Amino acid sequence: MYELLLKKIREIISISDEEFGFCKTLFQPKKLRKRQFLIHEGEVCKYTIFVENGLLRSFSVDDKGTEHILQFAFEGWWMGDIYSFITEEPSTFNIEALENCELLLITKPSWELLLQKIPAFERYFRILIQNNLIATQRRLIGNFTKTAEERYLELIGNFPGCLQRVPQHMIASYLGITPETLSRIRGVISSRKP
Amino acid sequence: MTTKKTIAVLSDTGENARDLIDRLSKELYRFLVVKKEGEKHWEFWVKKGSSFDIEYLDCMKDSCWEADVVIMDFDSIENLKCAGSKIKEVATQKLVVSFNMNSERRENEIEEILSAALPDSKIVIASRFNSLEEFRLTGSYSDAIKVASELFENAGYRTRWIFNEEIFSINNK
Repeated sequence: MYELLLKKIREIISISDEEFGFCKTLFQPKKLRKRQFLIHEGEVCKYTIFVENGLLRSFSVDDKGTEHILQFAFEGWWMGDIYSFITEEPSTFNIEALENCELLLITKPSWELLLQKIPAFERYFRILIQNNLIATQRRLIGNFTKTAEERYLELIGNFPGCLQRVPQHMIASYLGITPETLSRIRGVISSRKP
Repeated sequence: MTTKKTIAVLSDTGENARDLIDRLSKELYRFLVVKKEGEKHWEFWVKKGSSFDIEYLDCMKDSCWEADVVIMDFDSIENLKCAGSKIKEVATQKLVVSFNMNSERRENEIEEILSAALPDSKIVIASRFNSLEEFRLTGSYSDAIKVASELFENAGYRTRWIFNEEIFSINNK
């Protein structure tokens, strides 16, 4: 159950088996079925979530009822609303399972205990937050400077499994384009192939 | 919209669990009831299933893996320990509420036994107190007692909290 978590942690920091043994006791294992929500907009995001298996999405809904996808989280990824998690203010988005999921959840008190007891995790989470900030900035700048086709190619380049696992209309929502535009882009790309 | 809390119900005779769930709001909770041969109240669960968000699973571990809260209602310490050993791996950091089986043992003793089986879970022992409408909640984690108390109060019970052997809050509704 914790193999992927250990692998991902050891890609960034070195921790002993004993330290990981303690780390495991702080996580709450949780199965979530496809289409179930972990949090709804307006609730406090009490957990930071690690995806052991399955696929999550976070999204917000505007006044017209249109969904805007912020992030997908595949196996080995972390997800959550860091603003809500840290401040304990209500979250402005929803987290839903796109597939049956096996998750590991950690609450803020447990997370703080982990950082306090094993300081190497300060470095681990700093690097995660740093990488997340870089990805968010690149995505934001990409929205201003790149064409929809360039953003689509970047997405499938970074996450090759995404096309098989995520419905087209959700990929369109993530890219900030309509499903029709996405379909046209895919058609253009495929017509270029020899 | 509110995210429904998933509650796993593990029981044999199951009267306390049955009464609690009967009084909880179907809008706020989803129940995973573990099927058990000879379950005395099986008809109740089946009937309840038509109006409640209830599912029947065969496996204790699977139901607890999916649950946010685990409710145990066993008539013997042996059954309690046995269930604890089955769910240990997936109950880490989860609230586990066990009803006191009216044994000669004190709540603290039952809590110790269950904590040995589930060392990384947050155990709360619920005992009927004074009347059928009041429960005494005993445990070592104040946050877990608070969540358990909300659950019982949502079912319309009064609760009395005992944390570190001291009564620190009395709720009268």
